[in-house]
Amino acid sequence: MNEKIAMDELQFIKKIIEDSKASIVYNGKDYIVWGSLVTLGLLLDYSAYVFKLNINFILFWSVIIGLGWIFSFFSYKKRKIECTPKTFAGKILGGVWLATGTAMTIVGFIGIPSGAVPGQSVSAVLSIFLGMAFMIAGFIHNETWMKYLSLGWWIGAVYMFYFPGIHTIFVMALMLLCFQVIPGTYFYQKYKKEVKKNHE
Amino acid sequence: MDDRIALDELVFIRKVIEDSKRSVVENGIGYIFWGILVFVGLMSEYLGIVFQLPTKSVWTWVVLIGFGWSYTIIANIKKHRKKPVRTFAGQILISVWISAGIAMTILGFVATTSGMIRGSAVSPLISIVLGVAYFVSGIVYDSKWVKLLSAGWWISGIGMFYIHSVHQILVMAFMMMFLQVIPGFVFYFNSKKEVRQSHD
Repeated sequence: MNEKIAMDELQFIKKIIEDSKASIVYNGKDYIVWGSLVTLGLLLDYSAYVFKLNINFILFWSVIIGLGWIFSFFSYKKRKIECTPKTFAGKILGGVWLATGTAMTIVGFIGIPSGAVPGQSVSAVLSIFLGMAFMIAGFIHNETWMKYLSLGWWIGAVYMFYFPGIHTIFVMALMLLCFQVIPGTYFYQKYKKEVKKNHE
Repeated sequence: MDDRIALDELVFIRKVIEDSKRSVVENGIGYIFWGILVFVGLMSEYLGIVFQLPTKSVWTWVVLIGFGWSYTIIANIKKHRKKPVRTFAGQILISVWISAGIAMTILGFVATTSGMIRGSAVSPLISIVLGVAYFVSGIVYDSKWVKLLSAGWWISGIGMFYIHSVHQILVMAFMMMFLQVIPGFVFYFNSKKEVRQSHD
């Protein structure tokens, strides 16, 4: 192997590493869309309780969660069309959120109607799953603050288990805003900056 | 950079990639250990209820899970001392199983003692948590059969939501055997084969 081939090999490896790093610069849109959708759902849910509105909650949440899944599906399709390189880290991150979404959908749409999970404890249960997802995502993004968000989700879950009531809907909405939508916005800003840097 | 340095760099990079690949070969001991531990707990709870034994199942679980966590922490410290360099995949796997462990501990101890979750909802919820953990692990190991185990956990979780009798515990015990302990042995024998191959 002469010097040129060795240099080419090194450049190729360097490029793969850089591509991998660039494509894990996450745009945070899923966090913002899912967080905002569920927060909106929770606030409407709360209003329906307070104003004693006659709403079919299963149908209502089906629409909210359905919209979220449609968004995720189209954003996945878009990434595929744009041929965004699939890195190992990106694949795991996608898997984490797909698995967490599936798990939460099972809890919400099968656990509650089966009578096994009481409606008033669903926020606490879902917080546990979100804590899990944020901890793994924190390791993937290598962001310590993100790992701490998982503690926030778990502490919130423990609080909601021991202090149940209608106010837990508000607690959950607040947690979604602080632990999901705001971090999503942070990722979005970071992504925009990175894109601008790449264009320069 | 001369020819020799470039070659050294390439050899180093290749070694890192190979080491990384080897270290993600799971020896399965953790799966077997936790699977058997929980199987023992479930069987003792089931037999205690069926034969109306005067044992307190909460204390059985406190001892078993406490022992499990202590063993896992000590084993990981020892492993870290022996091999302080951690690969990205290895770190992700640790985060997956630690977060799943915390999620299951909250569900098993906090959710039930708060009275917000009935005992019969714990097994299906834990199955769903395990589904998430196996799905992500399957991506990390790049193994289809590990990913398929997650479907097994989710389907059994859905089924157990509808079993409101004591026999649900027995179903969970068998799931633990088939979807955790046996796969653990598969990992164990595969890793033995891998070690033998690398020695040849």
